[in-house]
Amino acid sequence: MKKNKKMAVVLSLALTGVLTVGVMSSFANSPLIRQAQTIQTKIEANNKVEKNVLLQVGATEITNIELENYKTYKSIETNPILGDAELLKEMATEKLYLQLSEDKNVAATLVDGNNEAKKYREILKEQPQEVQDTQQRLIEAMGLSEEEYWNEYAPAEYQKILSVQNLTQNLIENKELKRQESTDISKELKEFKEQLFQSAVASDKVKVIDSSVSFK
Amino acid sequence: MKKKIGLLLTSTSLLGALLVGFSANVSDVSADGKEFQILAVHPTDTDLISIWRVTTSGYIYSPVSVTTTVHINSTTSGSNLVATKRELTSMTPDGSFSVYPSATWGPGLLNLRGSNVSLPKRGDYIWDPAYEFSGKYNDTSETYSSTPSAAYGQTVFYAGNGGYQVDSTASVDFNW
Repeated sequence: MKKNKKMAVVLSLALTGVLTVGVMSSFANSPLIRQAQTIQTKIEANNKVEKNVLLQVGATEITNIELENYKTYKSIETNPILGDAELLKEMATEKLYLQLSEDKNVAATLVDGNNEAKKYREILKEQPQEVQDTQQRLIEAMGLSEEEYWNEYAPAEYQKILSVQNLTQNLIENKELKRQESTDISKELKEFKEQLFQSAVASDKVKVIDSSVSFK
Repeated sequence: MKKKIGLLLTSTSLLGALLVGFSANVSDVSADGKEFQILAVHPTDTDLISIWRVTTSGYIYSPVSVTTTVHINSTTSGSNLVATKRELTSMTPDGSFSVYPSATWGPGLLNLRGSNVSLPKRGDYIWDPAYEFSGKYNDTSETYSSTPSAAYGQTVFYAGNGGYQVDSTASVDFNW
């Protein structure tokens, strides 16, 4: 009888411990759950607004909806940049950098992106629960299922990331980006991208379509 | 939070290495003619820091691989060890900065025998074609007992603009 009582106390303590850890863990993730819901709602609202082209970047466009969606997704960052002009410049520069990767024949293919998606999906499975939970919340924020995320969204995004990385490596190899001791490549990269953007504006490759946009 | 890189990333020679406690001992002779041993240890470990890249259409899981290496040179002095150089270096692929152009990163804390080591000097390193290196060190002498205990060196990586992360440090844990 005494043994049973002892066992019951041990079991109840263990159960309390498990529940406490579970509750703490769900509390730890709850701000992200709320943020994910807010983001999903805002994205749905953004997508219902009438579409306006703000910028022309080569053969591609940047619309008001893309800008608002970018701002919404960025709201999760610790110190997000949310100024329209700065974000548009960032978005345009990203497109120019990707276009340059194609011009230099170093752009990745969708097959490369698909392989990368498979690789990272496996890597994620080995990560701590907090990381996997965060991934789930972010997929929810985007209003996608896990399969849609990995099979439809991720391959194209990894394709872009690989293209950008290939181009950076190409620029280093061709000494268009000069690596210096004691400074990261990021400084050189930043200057290169600034020049890329400014020369695209000067040559009308980046054209302001909506008069509300100004880079001055 | 530890994040060992999975088997998919371990195939390259620079990633996934775990050489904790690797050491080289060399005998030398001091000015007063006594023989002593130079002990060199350089534990290293590669981890992933989980970061999501924020895009115009959502979030893409794009972790950063960082390798943290501690270098300690010491000599024996009676029953003690005299550390003559304590160094912490960090390494990450160039590609990390293509994905996170605003990233700030580098060696963080080196902790030996329960105390953080001051690392006042910044090192210059030979560049590997595809990696960035950063390191700092202390080359003054410090005497320690010869009894080893748990130690660690850390690398920090903050993605900055365009990144969302739940962790920012990677460590090499070892005994010294």
